[in-house]
Amino acid sequence: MSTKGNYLGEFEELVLLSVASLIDDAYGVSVMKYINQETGRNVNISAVHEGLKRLQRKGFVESNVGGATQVRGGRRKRFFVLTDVGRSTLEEVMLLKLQLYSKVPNFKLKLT
Amino acid sequence: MNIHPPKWADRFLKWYCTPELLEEIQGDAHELYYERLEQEGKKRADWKYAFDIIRFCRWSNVKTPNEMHKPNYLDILWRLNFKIVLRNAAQNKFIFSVKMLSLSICLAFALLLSAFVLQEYSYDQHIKDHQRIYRVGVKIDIGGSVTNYGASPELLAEALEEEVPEIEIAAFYDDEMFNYRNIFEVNELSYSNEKALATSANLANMLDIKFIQGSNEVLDELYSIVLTESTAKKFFGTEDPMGKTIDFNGIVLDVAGIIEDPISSSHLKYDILLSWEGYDFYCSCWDGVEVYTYIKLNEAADINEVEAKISQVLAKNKMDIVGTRFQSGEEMAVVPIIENIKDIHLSNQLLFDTAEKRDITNLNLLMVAAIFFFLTGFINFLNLSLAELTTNYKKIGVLQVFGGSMASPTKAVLANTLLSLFVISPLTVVLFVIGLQYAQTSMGISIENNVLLSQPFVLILGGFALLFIFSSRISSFVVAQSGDLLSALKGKLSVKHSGFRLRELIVGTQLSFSIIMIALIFIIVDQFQFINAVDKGFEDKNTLVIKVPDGNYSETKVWLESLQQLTGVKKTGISSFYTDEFEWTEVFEIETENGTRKEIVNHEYWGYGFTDLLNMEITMGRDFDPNVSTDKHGAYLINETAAAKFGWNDPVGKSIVGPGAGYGRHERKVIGVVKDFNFASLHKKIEPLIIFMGTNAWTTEYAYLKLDPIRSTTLIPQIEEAYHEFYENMPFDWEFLDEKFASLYKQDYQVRDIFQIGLFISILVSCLGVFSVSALLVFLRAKEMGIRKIVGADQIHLFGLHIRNFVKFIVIAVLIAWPIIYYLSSYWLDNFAYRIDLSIGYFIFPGLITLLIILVTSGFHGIKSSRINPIDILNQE
Repeated sequence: MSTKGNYLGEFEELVLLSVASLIDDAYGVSVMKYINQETGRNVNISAVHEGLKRLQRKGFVESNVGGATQVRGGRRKRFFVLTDVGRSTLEEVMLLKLQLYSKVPNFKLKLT
Repeated sequence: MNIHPPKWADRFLKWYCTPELLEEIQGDAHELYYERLEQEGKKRADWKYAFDIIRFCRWSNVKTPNEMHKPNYLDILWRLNFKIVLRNAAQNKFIFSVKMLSLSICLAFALLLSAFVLQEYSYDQHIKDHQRIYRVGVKIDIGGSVTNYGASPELLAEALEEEVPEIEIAAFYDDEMFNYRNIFEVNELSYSNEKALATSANLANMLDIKFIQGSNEVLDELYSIVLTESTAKKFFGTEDPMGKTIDFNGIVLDVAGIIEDPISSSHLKYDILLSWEGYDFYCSCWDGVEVYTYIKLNEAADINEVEAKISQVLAKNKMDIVGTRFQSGEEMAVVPIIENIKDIHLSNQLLFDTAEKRDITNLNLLMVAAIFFFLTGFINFLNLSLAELTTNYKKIGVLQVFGGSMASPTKAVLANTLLSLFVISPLTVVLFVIGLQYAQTSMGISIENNVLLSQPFVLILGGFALLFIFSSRISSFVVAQSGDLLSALKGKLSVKHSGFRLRELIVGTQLSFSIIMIALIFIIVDQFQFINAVDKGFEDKNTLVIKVPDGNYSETKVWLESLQQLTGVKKTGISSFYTDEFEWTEVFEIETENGTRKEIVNHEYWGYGFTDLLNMEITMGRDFDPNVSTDKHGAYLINETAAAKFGWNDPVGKSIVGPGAGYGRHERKVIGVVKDFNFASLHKKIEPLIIFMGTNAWTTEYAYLKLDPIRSTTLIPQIEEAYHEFYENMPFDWEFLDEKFASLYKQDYQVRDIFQIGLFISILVSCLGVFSVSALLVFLRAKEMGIRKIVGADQIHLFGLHIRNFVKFIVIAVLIAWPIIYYLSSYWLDNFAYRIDLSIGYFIFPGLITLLIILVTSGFHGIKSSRINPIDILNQE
C-alpha cells in the first residue's frame, strides 16, 4: 500500500494521541468527541474514520470488532488500540519536536 | 424506535459503501444521529446525518471493481453475461462482425436518407416568421384554358400593401431586368452566369437576408448592387469589394453591401441583388406576369380572408393583366395562387417558377427507402442475435440454475444489446460522416448542419434507439418462449422451437426488402432507358448551343454566317428557346368553323433552317423559306399537338391572330406543321406550340450550331476565338444540347443513384444475413445430418434439405414484396408523362435473382453440411 511514507500528519497525530489516551474505548465517535473536547476542534466523523484507516494502514493502530450495542441499532463498533510501532512513533515525534524546539533561541516551553 | 435517519441517505450509503466498512460507518453515523436527535431535534439531526453520509462518500470508502468479484454479489451475473457475450463475439468473429457491420451500414444509410428528406422538407424554415410569408402567383383562365403562373404582375405588391390591411409587407423581385442577358463587367472581366434579382429592402427584410456589410436599406438606393460572399470573392478576390463599381449591361453600379450566400435549403437562390429602383423603366404596369410577389401577413390575419381580398384586387385589374390580348365578351378570370414560402420547394411546378423545386414523388420514395433500411438493419440484427442465442442455451441454462430468477435470459439479451450499442454507435457515426462526404463530392447533395441538429432528426435518432431496445425485447421474448430449462441444460438445440416461426417471418421480410429494392431499381433504370430512347422528335447529338449576348437577330445572323467558313461547322440556326428556359405563352385567336377561339399557347421563333439543323420533320406544308418574303411577318408553323387541339384537319392556310412586333396584334397564316418534338423533360406531355420567324423585333437568345462529330471538341476553341472577335469582352457560354437534355433529369438521376447504392447495401446485407444464418443452421443440424448420412442419405439429398429452409423464405418474401413493388413503382411512374408499362417480369425476376443469391450464399454451407463425416459429429456423444 503506497502512502506518503510512514510519516505522521498533524491530524493523524491528533487521532493517534486520542486513540492512545482513550485506551480501550477508541472508536470513531469516541475519538471524534475526544478531539472536540480536548482541542475544541469540530471535526467531521468521516475525517476521523479516514484518519483511523490511514493509521491502521501504516500499522500504528490495530483494530478489532466489538460487541453489538442497542444504541447503534445492533451494529458493532470497531475499536482501535495503539500498537508498539504506534507508541514508538509517537515518542519519536515528540522527541524530534523537543529537539527542534530546544534549538530555537529565547524560546521557553512552559509546561503547566 | 420509530424515528429513523433519512432513508434515502442510508440507501445512498449502502449503495456506494464498501461492504467491509459499511457496518462501522453506519454504526457511528447512527450513534451520532440519535445523540443529536435528543440534543438538537429531528430536523437538524436529519440534516447533519445526510451531511455526514455525503462526507463519508470518499474514494477509500467507495466500492472498487475488485470487490464486485465477491461471491453472492448481485453484479456477478451481469459480469458473467457480459463475459459470455464477449466470448461469443470472439468465438464467432465472422457472425459478430457481420452483425455489427450490416446494422451500422443500414443505419448510416437510413440516417443519411432521413437527413436528406428532412432537409428537403425543411426548406425555407430558417426564415423568421415563415408561417406568415406567402408567395402570390396567378392563375389565368381564358375561356376554359387555364395557366398557372408562379409569377405575378408588377403592380400587385404595391396594390396589395395598400388595399389589404392584413398584409404587413408586400414586395417582389424580378429576375429579368433586360430583354437580353445579364452581363457584369468587373475589372475588365465579364461574367454572365450569376443569378441577379432586382428587388427592394422590404423583400430582403421579409426573407431574412443577412447582411455581412451594409444593410438592407441600400436595396432602396438607386444604382446599388449587393453581392453574396462567394460572388464578391469571385469578382474581387481578396480585395474589399465595398464601394467598388460594377458595370451591369452598361449601367455603373456601386457595391453597397455583402450578404451571406443563400443556404442550400432555400427555394430562392441568387448571387447578386440589385436595387429595383434603376429598372422600373420598362413597364410599371399590370400588364403581364413578370415579377415574383411575396407577402407577409400580420399575426392575427387569416390566410383565407386575405386570399379572398387578393382575389378581389386581381379581379379588379384583370383587364389590365391580360391586356390587349383580350376582347370583351369572353369568360375570363384571374385568381391568386397563394403558397406558403416553406411549401414552394415541394409544390407543383408552375409556369415561370424560378424556385428550386423537388418532386415530392421522388422524396416519398426515398422516405420509404429510409424506413426499409432502418427495418432491414434491425431485422438482420435481430435475426443474427437470435441465431446466436440459440447456440447459447446451455450456458443460459447453467446460469439459471445457479442464479435463479436473476439469471433470466433477458439479462443475456440485454448484455448482448449493450455490447452491440458500444460497437455500433461509433461505427454508424463514422459511416454516416463518410456518407455525407461522398454525397457532397460525388452526388452534389450537401446537407446543412442545422438539419442534423434539428428536432426531427434528433427524434429519428431517438426512434432508432427505441427500436434497438425493442428488438432486444423481442429476442428475449423469443428466448423465454422457446427455452425451458431442462431441455436447455440437456443442450437440446431444437430447430423446431416456436422462435423459429418468427424467424422465418423475419428472414422473409428482410429478403422481401431486397426483392423490392431490386425491382424498383430495374424499373427506374428501365424508365430512364426508355426516356433516352424515346423519339424526342429532334436530333440532339453534336449540337452546340451558344447564348447570344446582345439579343440582336441580324447581328447574330451575320456572325453565324461567318462561322460557316470554319470547317466542321455544318449548320447554324437561331431560336428563342432552350430546354431550361420558360416557354413564352401568349393568347392567340384561332380560326375555327364557328368564328375565332382564344387559346393560351406556347410560342417561340426559329431562324431559317432550324428544322433542318435539328433534323425535325415537317409533316404538312413547308418550312420557313428565305425566298418567300411574307414568311417573315405573315407565317406560322404549328406542331401536331396544336393542330389537333385547334381541331384542324388541314391546318395549312388557316389564320391565327397573335402578338405582333411591339404591342399590336397581327394576323398570320399557318404554312406548315412540324412533327411533335419534346424539348422539355419527359415528365411533361408535349403541349401545343406556335412558331414564327425571328426578326430584329424579338430578342435573339440562342445560336445553334451543328458540328462535325469528329471535330467537335477541337472546334470549340476556334468558335470561341471567332466569338471574341465578334463580341468583344463578352463571356462565351456554350453547352452541348444532348448533355443539357440529360441534365433535365438531374433530380431523377439523384434518386436513381441513391437507389443503386441502396440496392448494393440491401443485397450485401441480405447475403451476409443468409450466409451467417446458414452457417448457424449447419452447426445446429450437424448431428441430424450425421445420423441421416449413416442411415443412408446421399449428398444431394442433404444439400436439398439445407437449401429447402431458405427457399421457404423466398416464398414468404415474394408474397410480401409483390404488392409493395406494385404500389411504389406505379406511384413513381405516374410522375412521368411517358412511362414504361409494368410487366410481369418486374415481379418475377427480382425474386429469381434473390433466389440465386441465396443459393450461392447458402450453397457453400449446404455443400459443407452434405459432405459431413458422420463419425466426427457423432463421436462426441
